[in-house]
Amino acid sequence: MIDLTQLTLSTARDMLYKKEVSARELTRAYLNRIQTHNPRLNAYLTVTEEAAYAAADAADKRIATGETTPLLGIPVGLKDMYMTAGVRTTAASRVLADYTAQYDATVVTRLKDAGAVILGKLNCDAWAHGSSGENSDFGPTKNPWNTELIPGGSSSGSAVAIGADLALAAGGTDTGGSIRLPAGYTNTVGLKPTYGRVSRYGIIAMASSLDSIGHFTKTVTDNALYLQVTAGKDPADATTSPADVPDYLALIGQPITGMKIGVPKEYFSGGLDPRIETVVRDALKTYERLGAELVEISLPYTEYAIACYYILQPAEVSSNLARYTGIRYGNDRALFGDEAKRRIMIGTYVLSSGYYDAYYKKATRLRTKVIEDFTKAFAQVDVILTPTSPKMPWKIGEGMDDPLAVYLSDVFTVTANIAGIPGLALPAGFVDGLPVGMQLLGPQLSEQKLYQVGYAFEEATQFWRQKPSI
Amino acid sequence: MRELRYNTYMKIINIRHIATLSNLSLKEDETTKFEKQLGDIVGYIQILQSVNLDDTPPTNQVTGLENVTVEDMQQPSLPQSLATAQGKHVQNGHFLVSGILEGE
Repeated sequence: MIDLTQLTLSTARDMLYKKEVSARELTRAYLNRIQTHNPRLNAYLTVTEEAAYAAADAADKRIATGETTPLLGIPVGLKDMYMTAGVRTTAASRVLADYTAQYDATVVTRLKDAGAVILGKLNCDAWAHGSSGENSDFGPTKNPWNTELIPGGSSSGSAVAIGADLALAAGGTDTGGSIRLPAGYTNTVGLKPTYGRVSRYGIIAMASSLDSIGHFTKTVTDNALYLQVTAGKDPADATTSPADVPDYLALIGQPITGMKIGVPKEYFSGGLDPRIETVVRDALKTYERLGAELVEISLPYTEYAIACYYILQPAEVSSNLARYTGIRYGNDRALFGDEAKRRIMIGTYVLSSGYYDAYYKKATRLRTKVIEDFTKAFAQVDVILTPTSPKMPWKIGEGMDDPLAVYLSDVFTVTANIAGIPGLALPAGFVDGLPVGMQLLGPQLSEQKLYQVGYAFEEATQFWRQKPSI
Repeated sequence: MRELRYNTYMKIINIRHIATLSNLSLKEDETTKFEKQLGDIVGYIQILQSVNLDDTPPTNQVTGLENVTVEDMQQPSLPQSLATAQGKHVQNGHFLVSGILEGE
């Protein structure tokens, strides 16, 4: 008897359609595994067993009629930033500890309509503020590769759900790296889509001009299947792109001969852990062997990007979190954790009279420069390859007293959010038995190409097959 | 990349004033802690002051979309009972709030 939790989404899908397995059996296998491992990993905050079985049975009926939508009968988990009607939705904050969502986010509606089976809600840094998972008010998520270490954040539970085989796909959010960082630390594939490619409606807002709604999977192909369901225009989110949704599987498996991969010199200097650099340089060599051409490029405004991000993002956070007054729902503002309080106050400060021009306005101008950097780069290259993080995961607890040091770990990921471009994080290799991640960046709406380039590497290396022993 | 750490402890933030503007009430020990931490962070973001961006236009959003409209049609909305279901203090289908003008 095969272990159903070791399947990929693509394989599980084939088996469902061939009636070799039922959605109910698949769902049961994942719920059992969650029951066994979640107490130690703390990935799920809420498990919705009854609703999951009901969705699985409904999916089995649809499969019986010959239906083949991409996520039909596939067990998924969702970051607790996603509004799920009738299900507790907390943003991992005590402010919303007893809040039950009154409606579904558009992405949740799309997943349900596609027949996905929602297993439960996943832990994260409270309000998605963090790079480690340590800021959850309900305890940190543990890295399955070493439970003393952070799994990365803020989508910590989503990354661990995939890294530890507690779901076949997991929804997350990425405002400054919150999908790509934890994907790198958990040997999983994480997509931050183009800003506006996936609806933000019903996702608890962090920083509205930066929030991107993406997801984690075990493989690149699985990732494309999920985006096929979530991408598209939503009348309820005016920032969603009216561009047609292409077939995200179309270029997967196509050769990448002659493809130009940009290597930004600013990302390979200074604070980068030399062990991570070695892994990523090896990955670049693999790409050369696959026929790609490496081109050194420069993104000169990178060094200002973190400062820009830690002005714009808290400014938007302070505005979005102003609505939590405990009147219409949720608890008193006194229950905000330290990180939320810090960001609300920094945002209030940079927007306050006398400081607005010096900080906020200046950061919006710097944003233009970061965008120009990428526009120039993509005139020369097809995609850009960088590490996802300058450092290896740290011990849980170490990040709590020095928030600025933690902010700086976002240095490689924030630029994509500032420019609104997509980033695909995938396993790059290992250092001392711990996974290392890299990201492929492309111009807006280039997800198809990112999947093509990502798949070529995945196929050549098969790093995703290595699993933590839990 | 330039040394990312500035370690500038700048006591330029009036933390009590900012907390009031933020609608947050801080305890005494929090005031000291946050003053230091926010000082570090604000010290760090000073790096932007070294760049001349006077001729660069601001970017407020990255979609390139303008004037997105939808047809003005009636649509179902949350029923009142559901909209107020999560309030801690609800009376006759309304949220109860403290008086605003009293004591002004």
